[in-house]
Amino acid sequence: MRTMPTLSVVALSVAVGVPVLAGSLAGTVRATGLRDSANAVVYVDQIAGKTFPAPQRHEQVDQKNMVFDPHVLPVLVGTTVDFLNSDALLHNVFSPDKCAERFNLGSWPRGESRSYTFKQPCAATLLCSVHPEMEAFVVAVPTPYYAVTDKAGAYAIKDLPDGTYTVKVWHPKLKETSRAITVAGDATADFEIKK
Amino acid sequence: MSSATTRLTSGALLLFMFFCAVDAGAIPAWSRKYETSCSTCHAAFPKLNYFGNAFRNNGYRFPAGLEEAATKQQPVSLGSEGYKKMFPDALWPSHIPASVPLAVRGIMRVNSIENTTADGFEFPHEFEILAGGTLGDTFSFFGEVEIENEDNENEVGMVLALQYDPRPNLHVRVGTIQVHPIPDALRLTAAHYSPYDTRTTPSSLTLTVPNPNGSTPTLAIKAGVEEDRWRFREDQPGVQLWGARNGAGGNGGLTWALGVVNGQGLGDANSEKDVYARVAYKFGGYGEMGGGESPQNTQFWRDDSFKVGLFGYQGSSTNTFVGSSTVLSGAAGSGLVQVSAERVVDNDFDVMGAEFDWWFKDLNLFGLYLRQSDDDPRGTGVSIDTDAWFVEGDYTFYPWLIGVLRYGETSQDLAVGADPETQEFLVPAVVLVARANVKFTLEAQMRLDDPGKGQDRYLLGIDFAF
Repeated sequence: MRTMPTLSVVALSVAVGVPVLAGSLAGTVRATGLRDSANAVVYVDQIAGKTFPAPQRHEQVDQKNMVFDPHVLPVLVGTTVDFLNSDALLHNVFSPDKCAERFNLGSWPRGESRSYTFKQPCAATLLCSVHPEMEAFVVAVPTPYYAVTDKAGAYAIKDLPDGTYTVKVWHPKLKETSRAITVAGDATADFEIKK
Repeated sequence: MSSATTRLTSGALLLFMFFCAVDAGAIPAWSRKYETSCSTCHAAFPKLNYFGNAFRNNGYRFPAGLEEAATKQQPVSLGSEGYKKMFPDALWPSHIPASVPLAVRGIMRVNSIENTTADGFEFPHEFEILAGGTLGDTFSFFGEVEIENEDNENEVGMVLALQYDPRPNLHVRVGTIQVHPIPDALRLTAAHYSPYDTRTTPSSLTLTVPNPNGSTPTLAIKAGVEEDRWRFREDQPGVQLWGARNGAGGNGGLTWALGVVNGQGLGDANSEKDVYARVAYKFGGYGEMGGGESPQNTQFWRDDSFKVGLFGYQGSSTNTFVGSSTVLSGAAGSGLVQVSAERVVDNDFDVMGAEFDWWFKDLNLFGLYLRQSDDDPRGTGVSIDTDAWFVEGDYTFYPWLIGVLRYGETSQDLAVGADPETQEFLVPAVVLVARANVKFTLEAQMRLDDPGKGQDRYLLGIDFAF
């Protein structure tokens, strides 16, 4: 059952005109069956009654040495991502996912980039039609509270207001999981994800 | 050389190329892929241990979904996973091994055969190039090319199979198939398991034809068989559906196989297809699919468990016996003429049997009984029933020192040649595993029945792989 976040502390803080208490959520994600636990996206799901404006700053995914970099990029919904080609050969970027409108940016040479704005929550697969082995993911999430795990599975979401949230973990190869987490100051939460 | 002889020779060579090949299990290519020792999968190569069986049952993949975690040489992608979303407008993604998945196995022997002069070094006896691996998540492959010394002539054999693995515990294998339940290719000795070696079809028949010169009413011509004679241990071209699953608590479990095979030859000897089935259940021990609890004794050669299985095979063989002789013509001044004889022998047969495999601490005791019923293997209208069995005990004194003792009997209700109705085979051996991939075997191959005495063979086997 989906757990709705409780924002009583936030609401109270706003009501009395004091700064909202902000802490962090950190921990470890264990990716069972994989060589390492990198590339899991830990994020706070939709907060009832709360919206976040699309950021003005663009994010970037590079194509270099025939590899997308980064492999996994979480962004806030509404973010525009620039896809740069740093290779001396043509690359393409497209997504087969409906939530990303199955966009296809065509092909372009070295030094140039093309952009796409992720308008809705989506774990969009990025592919290159010229090099089928290339793959990356842009994960558009509804809040600005997200982080990507390192190889050890460690993550840290900073500047997270106190409250109770639904925290989700997404991974390119493993099943998504979610849990209600209460944050009061610096909180910790560990997850395990598997196939 | 007559055309018939040429056909016989070339046919025999082609058949030998296929049938002498064995689906060996020792694949150093996998050692490289996972950067792990041979002993991860082998009690003593090529004999599989509990983990090797689970690895095979998972379609040549690590059990419990750990394939990716265990793979040290990351494969080369032939398309990223995202392309699955594009299908059918894109190729389904796959991968190939990072390095060429080849390995080499060499076998040398020093032979001493009683009452013969055929003693000495056989360096090499066999040279094998082995290949095995996965092609993406749902295909795997196994292949082998071997060159083997056979009576001082180098013969070539081959094995090739592509396997579709739609689920970890379900496989469709197309190509070379081992139809017998205890893999002969994975034995520790040079001697084959005796029940698998029995042939009921003779290698030649004496045929009678009219004598053209009339000096006698008929001529007796010795005719050799043109097709390969069916034998249980031969690998066969075919299709096999097979699978496995863990038992309660992740221990032991079920293995099963259903198959359709040629029966004889790469191109088959008749239009009939042979069918077979086998099923076995393992009580206790490591799970057939792995991933459950570890074995009670954490040693790579131990797996306290008991397995029992049943199997059946139904086939049709067709053998063409061809021979010729040169005789004087009956017509005055006509000189010599060549007289040919040919007979086609069709035979329906079936094989039923049971196997067991018991592991207890350092002892592994296993064996098999089978009954083969042939309708007419010699074209004489006489049926033959064959009962054969063997039991082998392998005792691991140390992980590098294994004692082997095998006894078997083969009984036929009609004597074949000079052999008695019951042949008794005894094979004692000592296996010294000098390194995980270097092995020496001292072995005796003895016949205990009277007509078989005086033909004992003693050999030192040297076996290595890399």
